[in-house]
Amino acid sequence: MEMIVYLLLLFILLTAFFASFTKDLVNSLIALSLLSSTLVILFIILQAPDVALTEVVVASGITTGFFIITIDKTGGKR
Amino acid sequence: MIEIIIIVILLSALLTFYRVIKGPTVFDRIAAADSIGIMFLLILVLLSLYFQREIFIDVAIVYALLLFVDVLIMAKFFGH
Repeated sequence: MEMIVYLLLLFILLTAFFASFTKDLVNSLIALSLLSSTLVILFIILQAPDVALTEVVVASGITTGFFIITIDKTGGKR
Repeated sequence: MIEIIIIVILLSALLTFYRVIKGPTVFDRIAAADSIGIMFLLILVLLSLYFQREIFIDVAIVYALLLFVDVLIMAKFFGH
């Protein structure tokens, strides 16, 4: 089980670097959605299903949808 | 046995993340992110089978629903 946790932490590190250092807002948003969904699996492994459920609903669902609508309405690139 | 399956699925998700980094267009990145989301859904169901707790299935159901809604919103606003 430690190997799975190490791979998940590597995935979180890669998505955080890509979300920080990319030039386009849409790519950063997609990487941020992947980061939050990786964090859900980490909460499941740490035996906290209520925190994982809240993280799924708020961070991976509503925030991504609202950010997509906001980027589309404000025109978007950079 | 279940740990080995989860490790293999995570390695394939790391290989798919290369397409998220170097996809030429936005649609490649959206398709690759959706594929990684389906892999994470499979990992959630396998972890519920590993820990023998049925409440983890609910997280997987909500994540599947919100993944579908999310990709639908992306296709609606970036498809034109």
